[in-house]
Amino acid sequence: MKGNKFLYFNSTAGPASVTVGELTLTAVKSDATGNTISITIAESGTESEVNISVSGNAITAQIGTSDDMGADDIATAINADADASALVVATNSGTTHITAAVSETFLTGGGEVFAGFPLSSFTGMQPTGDSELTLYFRSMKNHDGHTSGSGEEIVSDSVALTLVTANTHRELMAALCEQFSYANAKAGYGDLFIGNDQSGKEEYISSLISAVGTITVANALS
Amino acid sequence: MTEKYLYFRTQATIADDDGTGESACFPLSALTGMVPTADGTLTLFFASMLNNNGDALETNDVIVSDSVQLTLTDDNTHKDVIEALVEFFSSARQNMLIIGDDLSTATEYFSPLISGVGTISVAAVVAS
Repeated sequence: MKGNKFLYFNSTAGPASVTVGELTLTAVKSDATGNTISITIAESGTESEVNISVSGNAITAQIGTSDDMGADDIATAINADADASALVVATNSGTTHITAAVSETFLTGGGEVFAGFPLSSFTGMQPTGDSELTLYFRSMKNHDGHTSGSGEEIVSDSVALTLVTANTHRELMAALCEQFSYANAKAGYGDLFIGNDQSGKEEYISSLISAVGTITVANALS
Repeated sequence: MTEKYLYFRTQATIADDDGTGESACFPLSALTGMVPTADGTLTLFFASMLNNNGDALETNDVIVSDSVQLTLTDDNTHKDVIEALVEFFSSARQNMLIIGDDLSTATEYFSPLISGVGTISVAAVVAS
């Protein structure tokens, strides 16, 4: 009996981040959970100071209405707040006073650093950009089933691969399928390292790949 | 049995093969069936690439199959094409089977019974 084969991906995809004007927030955790963190800048609260509040992963900075607070003030306040600084690191690129509220804005770009999927979980692949091919897998953390609440959809996990040459998706698909089939034909358990972005140890299963992009593992439903 | 993979491209311009619906590759094991959808069209259906099986009770959370349309060279030859596909699935030695590629500079079809790849539908991620 042939054992299952596993596909491994190692990405240097950074933690999630967002830049709002001269303020940049970077998630503390380098995984996809950073994409659930948000920042809202509200013109309310005490004048001439920044008040930070955190509800779940939502950070709110109240800057009053005097238009005398800048990104530096907000960054300082966030980094000094225990709850907010557990979620993000804040930096500023300037000190211009903020004169308008900013609606809730989420961090983006966070991804898993490393993931392994059984080949049997592979559901397909498609182009997602001129130089990007995305592979999809059955959810690692959620099982097929019946859910009854909003936001409880079971969606596939995914891994994006960056192409060396744009629009060579078909060629890479063929190369991957060949490796999948070759691995499947062998007895026993085994693994395929599809891509490793680790500095100094870069390794890709095909010369058509230049990097592993975002690895998205859907959170477990609650 | 070793898995095989099916490749489809409906995009004729290589530089535009860059997103959902332009090309796709499905595991053969994801094929859920094929039916005529017009005199000159056979549609293949696959288990959703982006969504897992399940049943969320929210509006618009129904999980539907992905699909690929094949254009028949001659109308109403669906049975012939299905038989040719099944034979191809069984006998082909390649790992990735090129069912149809509309690339203008190098069109390629698994059989002269088809003349094109129609719409490739990959259902979007369901989300509330």
